[in-house]
Amino acid sequence: MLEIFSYGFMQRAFLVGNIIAVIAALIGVILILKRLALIGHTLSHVALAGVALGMLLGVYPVYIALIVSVIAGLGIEELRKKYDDYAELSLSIVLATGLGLATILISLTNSNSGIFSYLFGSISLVSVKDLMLVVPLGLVIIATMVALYYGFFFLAFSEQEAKLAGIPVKLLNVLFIVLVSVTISLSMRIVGGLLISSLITLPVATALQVAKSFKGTVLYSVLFSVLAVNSGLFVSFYQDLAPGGTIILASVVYLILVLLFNYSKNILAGE
Amino acid sequence: MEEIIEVTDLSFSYEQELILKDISLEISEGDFVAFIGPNGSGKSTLLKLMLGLIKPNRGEIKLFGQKIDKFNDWTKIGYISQEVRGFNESFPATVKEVIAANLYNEMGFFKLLTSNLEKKVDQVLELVGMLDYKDKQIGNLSGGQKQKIFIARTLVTNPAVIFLDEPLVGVDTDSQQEFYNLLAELNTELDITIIMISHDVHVISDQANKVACFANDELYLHQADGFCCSNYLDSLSNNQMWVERHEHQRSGENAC
Repeated sequence: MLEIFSYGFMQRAFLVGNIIAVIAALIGVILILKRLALIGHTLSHVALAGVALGMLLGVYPVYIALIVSVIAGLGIEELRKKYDDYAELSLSIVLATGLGLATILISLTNSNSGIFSYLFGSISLVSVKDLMLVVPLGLVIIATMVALYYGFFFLAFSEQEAKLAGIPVKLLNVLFIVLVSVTISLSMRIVGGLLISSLITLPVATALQVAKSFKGTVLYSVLFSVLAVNSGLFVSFYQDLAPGGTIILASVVYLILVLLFNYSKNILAGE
Repeated sequence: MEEIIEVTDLSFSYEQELILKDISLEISEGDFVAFIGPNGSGKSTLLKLMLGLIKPNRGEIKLFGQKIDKFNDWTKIGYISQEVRGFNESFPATVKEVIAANLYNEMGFFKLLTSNLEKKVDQVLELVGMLDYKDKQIGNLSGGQKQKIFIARTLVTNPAVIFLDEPLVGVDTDSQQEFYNLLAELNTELDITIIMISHDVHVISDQANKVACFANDELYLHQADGFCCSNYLDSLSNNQMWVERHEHQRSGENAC
């Protein structure tokens, strides 16, 4: 067995990391196709406020981050209706609120190292408690996304037409934003609050370069996300680098490789 | 013939601007109704009202005998909107996926495409002559081909009525004729009721059996046989937003 797998914390990191890789990619495809990629960035900042509040109250921070980000997610959805043509404005409002709260709460906690592990992720800190939360919730998210596959597809393609086709658009939108909020809260342990939005967007950006169908985009996104998390964890372990940053840079490398591949293919085809 | 759409004393205004005033309209099963009129005369507004996308200020709309706010069998209704052409062209979806999505309510607990449902997708693609394009990316098709795909998507749920809001803008002349032939086939052979907004007054009045003229916040319904296109266009040319007040036509009467 490779040395890396002889450590309990690395086994946990790989298990949690791979589940997060899959759910981040599934969520990311819909978010990007709905042109709401910045939701990840916004909710991760709100989740940070939840982490700080948890620390302040002496409660397991991910629990509070989950609750706070779900409330914020629902808030975004509500504000999106009020600013129909300016959807990004709802993100700015919630981002500002989350960041303001996070700054105040972090200054009150006096635990910079604790907050740092949620800001940038820390594999060595992935506990059994994290595992017990991420595995079941992750599986629920995967099952929901698979079960409502065509519902989410239609939501991303055209909300108005989905409504006319008898799809419960409001319910699906609310459910989806809850799934996004939960995914972000769960991911903070591995990639960190500041980097999770990159894990949501980069594998999808790479997949869009190669996929010709929605199914292809979903599968390629999951593939590139899983590749990035595993190669990132390997490199960070052997080179003693920050795992969150390494995972994200691995995603960037895959994107660049695919872009170069497409570029050379076009040159060879004489386009 | 069964009345499938009944509009009674309907009024609608966008804020202060009155768009439709006390209009009434009955559409029977198997009708092909053309909605014509200048821009801003309320054609699309009435279509959206009949689809329940917006609510009237006054009056009543019934679909298949049911008040619109109680109506829930939306699979009977097909709609091809103006916005349909405005979808994200680079959206990574194949023709099969776009059509399959309309079968959402026929899918089981898992909203996935089963082989039985895929057969339905194949059937409608065959009907519109686009089966070879099943696995092509929708954004890579021409305007005319896309319209056929959206018709196929509408047909996949076996609708009794299809609403089309200016579906042929940006589509070349040959494809337009093909599209009209397809609509005529759906109307006569499958007995699907068609309600279509078009600016192409000559062609649409040839295809339809009823013509609804929108003007002056009101609506005038004519039998297409007696509808005089040139009189209508003449009255428009005097004032682009004004059509001479003319009588509401009954079956068999001459118009304009």
